[in-house]
Amino acid sequence: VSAAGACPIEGAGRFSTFDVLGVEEPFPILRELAPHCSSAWSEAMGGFWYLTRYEDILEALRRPDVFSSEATFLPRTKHPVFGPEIPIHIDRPAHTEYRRIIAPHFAPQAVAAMEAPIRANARELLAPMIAAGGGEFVAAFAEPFPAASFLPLLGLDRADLDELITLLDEILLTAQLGPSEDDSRERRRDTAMRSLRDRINAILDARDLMSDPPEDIVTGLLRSRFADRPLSRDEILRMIRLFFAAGLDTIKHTLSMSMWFLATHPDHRRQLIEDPSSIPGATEELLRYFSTVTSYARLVTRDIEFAGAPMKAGDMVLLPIIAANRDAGRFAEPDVVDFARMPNPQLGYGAGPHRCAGSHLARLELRVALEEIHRLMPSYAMASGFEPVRTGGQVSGIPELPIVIGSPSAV
Amino acid sequence: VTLQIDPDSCVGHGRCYALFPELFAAEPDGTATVSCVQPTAEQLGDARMAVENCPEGAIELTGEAAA
Repeated sequence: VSAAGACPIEGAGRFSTFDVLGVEEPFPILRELAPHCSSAWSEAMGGFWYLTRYEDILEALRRPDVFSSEATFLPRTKHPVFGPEIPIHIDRPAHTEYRRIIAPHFAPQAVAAMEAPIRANARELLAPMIAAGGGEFVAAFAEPFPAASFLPLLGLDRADLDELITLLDEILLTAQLGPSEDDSRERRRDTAMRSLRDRINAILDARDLMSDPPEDIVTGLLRSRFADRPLSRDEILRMIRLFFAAGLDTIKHTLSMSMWFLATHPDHRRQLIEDPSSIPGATEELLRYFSTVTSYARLVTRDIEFAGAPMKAGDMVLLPIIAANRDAGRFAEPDVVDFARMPNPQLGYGAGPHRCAGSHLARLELRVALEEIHRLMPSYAMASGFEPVRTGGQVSGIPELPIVIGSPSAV
Repeated sequence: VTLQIDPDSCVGHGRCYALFPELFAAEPDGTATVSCVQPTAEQLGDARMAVENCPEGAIELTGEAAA
């Protein structure tokens, strides 16, 4: 193992999350490095350390005193329009209090009550695509399904769906494509963010006037107390902003990549059709394999030698979840997709105190989607000649997925 | 043989109670508690798998005879 920063592998010093090579293996350099270097320095994206192995990545996620969440994306940017999102960009001790406020809304018992409406959304969105004998899966299902499932949490209804999806696509421009040289992406992103802030403010204004507000997350937040005071309007805005950032694109991309895999691996698909009880394990394994959130970034708070790297306070470090999830030292045959894999301590939802607060809702949405797809349209295939691509950035997936749907008896 | 969860390590992944509901239960905040502190011989395999499957290493099985 070489000293970090002097990793002898060609390309290690130029690694960027915006250079994606393949759907299944977006960043091959991570795999090349792992046997030789536990860490490396890249000059890309403003300069950053990155780790290559499960144990180190997990430890970094679990040491928020050393690895701050003040900055979680590369290149490091200010948090435009809303300010730092709560609680993902907040460190202890405030983080602990914010998570205490949010946790009950996304606990397993709370999300179980959402299953029936979420299933209805899935059926409603699949029906036109099935009737048409196919379509573009991302626009028809993967994108609107999590959005439709999420809107009621904010007291919004389906009439708001298209507007919100358009705003989100604009907000994600820099996350998927990287900074633009002429600031054009940044300007469009910030304009969309201001529109989103106006929409959320309007929801909160309306709640203030209601004598009998609905029992949902918005009302819950308005009634919540941070230690001995109510949450401020600003804090609630920054929380709801995070729900948008975390709850929609992640599910969309996980569904697009899962669907592509299942369309091209009939034996795996048959398992889900013949035994729907295999679906929860399948969603964990597909998340491990594709690692939709390819990586989280952290800000180093003090000088420390970690995973062989001489890190300095103020350095950025990237924790590639996808490298952890494909680490042969942790997972037997990491490149084999095994829906019955056990144990499967995959890190697709992160780990440590910032573990995805919405993971129980995400699991529910992914399970219900795969259940309904394989019940209602078990026979599907990629449109002929289609070659998928994977977007760049720290949250990534397949942006377009044309499929054809056959009759159920054709499986 | 005793099954325990370290409450300081558990962050509520929920894999233990999702997979092994006879051994673990969910708290209202999503963290886990042990519902069966002394697993039977038949439950030991599940208990060991829960230990292996927890990313936080929050589950402990103590008092097993050394293999």
